[in-house]
Parts: sequence; structure tokens; C-alpha cells
Amino acid sequence: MNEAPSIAAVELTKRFKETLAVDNISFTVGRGEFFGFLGPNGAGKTTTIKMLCGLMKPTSGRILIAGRDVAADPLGVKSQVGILPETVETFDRLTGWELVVFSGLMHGLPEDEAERRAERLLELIDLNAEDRGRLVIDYSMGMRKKAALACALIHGPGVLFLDEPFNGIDAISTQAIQKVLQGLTAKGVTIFYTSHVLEVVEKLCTRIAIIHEGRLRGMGTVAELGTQAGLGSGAGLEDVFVSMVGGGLRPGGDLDWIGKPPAAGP
Amino acid sequence: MIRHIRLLAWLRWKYLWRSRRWITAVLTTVVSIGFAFFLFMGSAFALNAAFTRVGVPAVWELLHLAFAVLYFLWLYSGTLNDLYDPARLAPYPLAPRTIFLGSTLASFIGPMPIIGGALLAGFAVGIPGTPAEQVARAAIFLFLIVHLQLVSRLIRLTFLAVLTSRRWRDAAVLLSALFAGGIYVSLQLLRNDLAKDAVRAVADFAKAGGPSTWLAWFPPVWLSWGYALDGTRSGVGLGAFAILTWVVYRAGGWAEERLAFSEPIFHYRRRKISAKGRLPFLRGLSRAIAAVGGTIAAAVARKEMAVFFRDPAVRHRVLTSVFYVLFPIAAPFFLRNRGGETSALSAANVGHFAGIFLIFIEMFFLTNLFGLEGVAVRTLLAYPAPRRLLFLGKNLAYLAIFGPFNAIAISVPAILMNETARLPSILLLHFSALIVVTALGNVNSVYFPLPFLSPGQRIPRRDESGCLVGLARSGLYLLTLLLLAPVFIASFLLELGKSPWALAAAFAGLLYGGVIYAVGLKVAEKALASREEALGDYFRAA
Repeated sequence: MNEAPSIAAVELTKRFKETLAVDNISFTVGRGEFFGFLGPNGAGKTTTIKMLCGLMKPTSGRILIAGRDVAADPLGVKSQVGILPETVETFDRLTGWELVVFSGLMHGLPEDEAERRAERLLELIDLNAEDRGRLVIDYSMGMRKKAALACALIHGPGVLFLDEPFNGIDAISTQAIQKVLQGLTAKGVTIFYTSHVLEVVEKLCTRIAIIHEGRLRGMGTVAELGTQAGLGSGAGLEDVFVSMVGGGLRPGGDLDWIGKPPAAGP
Repeated sequence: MIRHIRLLAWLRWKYLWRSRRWITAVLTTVVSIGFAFFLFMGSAFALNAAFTRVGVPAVWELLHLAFAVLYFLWLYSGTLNDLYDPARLAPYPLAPRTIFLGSTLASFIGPMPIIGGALLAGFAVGIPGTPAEQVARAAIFLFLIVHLQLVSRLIRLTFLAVLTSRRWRDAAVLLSALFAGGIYVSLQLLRNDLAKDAVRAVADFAKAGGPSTWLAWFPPVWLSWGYALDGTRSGVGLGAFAILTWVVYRAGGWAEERLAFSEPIFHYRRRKISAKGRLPFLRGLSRAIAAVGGTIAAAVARKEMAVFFRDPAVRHRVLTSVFYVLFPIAAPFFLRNRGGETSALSAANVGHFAGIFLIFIEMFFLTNLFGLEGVAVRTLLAYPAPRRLLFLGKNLAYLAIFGPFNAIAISVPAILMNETARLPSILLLHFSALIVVTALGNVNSVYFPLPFLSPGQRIPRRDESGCLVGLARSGLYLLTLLLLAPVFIASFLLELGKSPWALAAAFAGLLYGGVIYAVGLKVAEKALASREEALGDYFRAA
């Protein structure tokens, strides 16, 4: 396949003073792939995503998104990607409707087209007419996530970065959105997906990378990862993940005081 | 309870220490100690001299009055604040009254006790008495300060608990701001001879025992009686004040509980917004802006205006600044009052003065463009929009908000002074100045952003904060003044000579402003390119 990969990270490193958050990682993600990026808390996932999206400059290394160099053409890259961060930090004094349309306009869509797409997206994420007129600050976490997802999709990005996209979203909407995302990959959209819910990752992702302490510990399909971890190709993702990041019950796991609150009240 | 109060104090200490660098803390302490020294010496000497030279009963009456004024001002200055989030401590098994008392006592951790302590000691030393009396007075003074903080907090909580509608709270804040501004303007309008009479009247009022007679209903006077340590009245006063403090403490517990478990009152009031939640006037304005700056600038402007009009933190700031507007409007009356016949020069100056004043009020917004975004600045910078359009959209939004308002606020004094002929040049020069400030504001917003605090949010610790940043910020403001100088000098010279070229010069000023804006925009755009990440980090949630 000669087609340029949608995402290419080459020897990517990020250092914050004394902390090496991402340590010389390289990987590529092909067009139309549903790529899972896993790691325990503080492993360097969010830092990597921020660098890939052009929101953070790497200490060293090179990133290409759809063939464009992030360092040379950050705005060009931003126009190609859709981002759903784990913590939705958005303009919470806009209504849901205004927020999604605003997002379309910021990507250069004409107003009537932005409104048309917003209408369809809000229908898809099941945000009813009353909720659309409410301010985002009054939304629940799940509704915020849904609105942010609509913002990430409105300009038809070629690459989607989704950080815990289903966190706080109800089961019905989750299922609907999962179907949409799978449909998008069929159309050639690349999805870079991080989550701690390994069952969903296993179900959706075609390839997975595992990062721990800033370094890539393994990459491939679940079967390939099982082999890399020495567990065999039939191992489940959870076992592979725990094996690669050195998990297990820590000493002190037996919390012997649970169920025995202090006798004295305030 | 003691344990919880200690923990709350610890929490306050940690927040205080971690919200600033150690050098800032040391400097604040040194400056506070310096100020406290002068307060101590001043109060001690003034009181000692007063008790030696003037009759003792009259000085005590003046002290009763001083206690009453201090009480009123203290409560007035810090109570109508609705940016307080009491729900943080709700999950812990703390009695609401403990939260109330503990948070109040914890608020003393900081530079305030240095100033309060200086006054406390100055009063104790300055008033003649035995060492035992001096210690007793120091304790009573301390009681007053704790009481003041308790009442101040109670009023703040009650304000939120009772005025559950945001509109009512806005109205209360507005009235309070206008009240303060009104008092100041009234004092300015007072003629000098009348002012002297007023001072004499206050002295006569005190000599005649007025404060004890007419203000006997006011709690600080009860405490002041106690402070005098002169028998039965002192005991009764102190007892009454102690009972009131206990009632405040109980009521504070009720208010804490009421707020912690109430609806999220800090949110924008839910209401039915027309189809798709669009505000027609925003849509109209953004179309006009789209014609000037394009779709992206218009989208930014529309978002900026929506946030400006909806964010309670912004509204609070705007409402509390409203009384400044009274100054330029009152200026013609002030000039007439002081100078008899008003000259044309002073009339024109009133127009310029009004303009400068308005820019001064609006500078916080004009020079802090990303403050309203807060943590959402990362989202804004994640869009692939050309950065100059972000600035342009924000600038046009503020021009649309402040422009008409300023035009009216400048025109009213000019019309009142029959100076309509000079109004066009005054307005043109004002807008030239506004554009220059906007240009420098764009640069300042990138290098020296300030967060707009929302409920429960605290100023984050910044590695780059400190004296040097403060100096650099001041330097940029100084540069703004320097760049404004040609506009002001031209207007002054033209008005002085009553030149017929005033209007032409005003147009030249507008052109000058345009050039400065273009340069400023270029500089800001370049600066933002290298500081996007830092800006996002700066506004991270506290």
C-alpha cells in the first residue's frame, strides 16, 4: 500500500522539566483504521494526543497527519482533525445549538451549511429541541460529551481523536455513536481512540498500541499483542494490558478498615 | 469541631501558599508590615493626642462614631459578592456551623491580621489606661474584627440564599454599586464651604453625645461602649454584642446548609430560548461584523458577545463598575459648581475626560481578550482559524458592545454643556484612542492574560508570575499611554486654540489609530503563534 498513513509519529518525545512524559515513540495509523491507544493513568496518552493534534509542541520528533507536518502547518492539520478531549473544556455560556454551529463556522463552513449539519448531528446524538436551547454549563457530563462530539464531527474531519468519548454517555446513545464511528471508518475516516474500558476497545479497534511510562510496550491486533506479551494469540485484551503495564493487586489491597466508620460524629 | 476548624485553616494556608510564589508572599508581608507600622504609629499618636487635648467624653463619642462607620464600610465593601461556591465542603461530615465559623476564622490567614493587628495595638496603646485595660481593649477589638468577618460572610451567604433569582442579585449588585458611586459624586458636588460646615457639624454632633443617643440601636456602638470600659453601660453593650454574635453564628450555619444543598444557583437561569437558542440581536450584529471581518470573525464575535452578556462573573464585574459612569455625567455639574461660568475649554475637556474614563473602565476587557475563555482557550486555539481573525472577531465584538455605550456616555455631558459643535471631533478622537488601546490590548492579552474567576475557581499558581511580569505588564500599559499621547496632545492643542481644524485632526487621529491597530494585530498574531500552548496551560482549571 503506497498511500501515506493518516497518522505518522516519528521518534516522538516530550519532556516537562524533569519528567519524560513521552519517550521516543514511533507508530503509524493507516487510513480508515480504528486505532486504540491504551495506557494506565499518567502513561502519556493525553500528551501524545495533544502533540498529534498540534495542541502541544513535542520536545523532539516529527508528526505527519494526512501527509501534513504538524510543526510546519499546524492550522492545516487542525482543519483535518476532529478532537474530543477527555475533559470537555468548551464555551459553556453558549447553548448546545450555538456551540455546534460555532464550531462549524470556525472551520470555515458557510452558516447555512453549518446549521444543516448541526441539525443532523444533534439529532444523531439525541439532543432534543429543548436541550439544544439550554446553555452548555447546565448540561450533564454526558450531554457535554455528546455536544463536543458533534463539534468534532461537524467539519467532516479525516482523522478523529477521541479521548474517553463514551464516558458519561448512556448506553443507547453509546450504541448509536459506536455505529456511526464504525460507519465513518468504512468511509475512510481514521479514528484514534483512547479509553480505559477495554471491552469497548477490543470490540471497536482494529489495531491497538499500549503505552506505559511514556514508552510503547506493544502494538498490533489483540492476537498480536497477546503473542508480544507472551500470553499467546488467544489471550484477552485485559490480560494482555495488565501483563504489559505490570499490573496486579498492589500490597495493601486488603482495606481492613472498610465498613468501620469512626464512632464519633462531627 | 476544633479539629475541623484546624483542618479548614490548613486548607486555607495551602491554597494561599500555593496560589503565589514565595517571593510574592514575602513582598506582600514586607509591604503589609510597613503599612501596619504607619497605621500603628498614626492611630496611637492621633488617639493619644486627642485624649490629651480634647475632652475625653467627646473623643469617646467620636470613637463610637468611628466604630459605626468602620462597621458599615466593612460590611458594605465585601458582602454583595455572588461568586462563592459553598458546595465544596458539603460531602464531608462537617456541621454547617463549623464550616461557617471555620471558614471565617481561616480567612484571617493572610496579610489581613498584620493590618488589623496594627490597628488593634495602636488603639490599645493610644487610649490612656492601665495595662490590664489595654489588654482588655485589644481583646475586644479582636472580637470586633471576628464579628465583622462573621457578619460579612453571613450577609454574603444570605444574599445568595434569599435572592435565588439571578436577576434580583444583579439588581442588588447594581443598586449597591450605584449607591457607592452616588455617595462619591455627592461628596464631589458638595461646595467647599458646605464641606467645612459638614465637618464642623460632625464634631458638634459628637460633642453633644449624638452617637450614643442616635446610634444606640447600631451594634458597633454597643461594642464601642464596651471598649470604653466605663461601668454598667460597657457590660451591657458587650453582652448585647456577644448575643448578636452568637445569633450570627447560628444563622451562618443555617445559611451554609441552605446553600450547600440548594439548586446550582451559580448557573445561568434556565429559560426557554427561542428556536435553536439564538438571540436575534446577536445574529443581526454578527451579520454586520461578517460583512467587515468575514464568517470566522463574526462567529468569534457572536460567541464573545453571548458570553459577555450571559456569564455572571462578567456581569458582576460590569455591574460593580457601573458607578464610574456617574463621574463623567456628573462632571458638568461639578465644573459649574466650582467654576461658575463654564468655559468652552473645560466643556471640551469634560468630553475627553469622559472618554478616557470609559476606556479606563473597559481596559480590563480590551487588554485581556482570553480571560473570558478561561480553560476553553484550548478549544478556541484548536480551531484552524487564522489567528488574526480571532483577534478581529473579539475586537469587533467589544467595539459593538462598548462603542454605542461610550458614544452616549460622552454625548450626554457635551449636550448638557451645550457643546454639540465639538462633539464630532471629541467622538472621533475617543474612538482613535479606543482603537490604539485595542491594538495594545491584543498584544497584552497574549503575554499577560488574567483569568476571569468563576464560582469555586481560584487563581492558579503561575511559574511566570512575579515582580518582573508585573513590571513588564506595567511597561506595556505605559507604552499604550505613549502611543495615545499624540491623540491627546493634538486634541488639547486644538481645543486650546479653538482651531477650525479640530475635525480634520480628529480624522488624522483615526487614521493613526488604524495604523497602530494594524501593527498591533501583526505583533499579537506572531506572539500568539509561539505562546498558544503556554496560554492553554495558564488557563488550566485550578
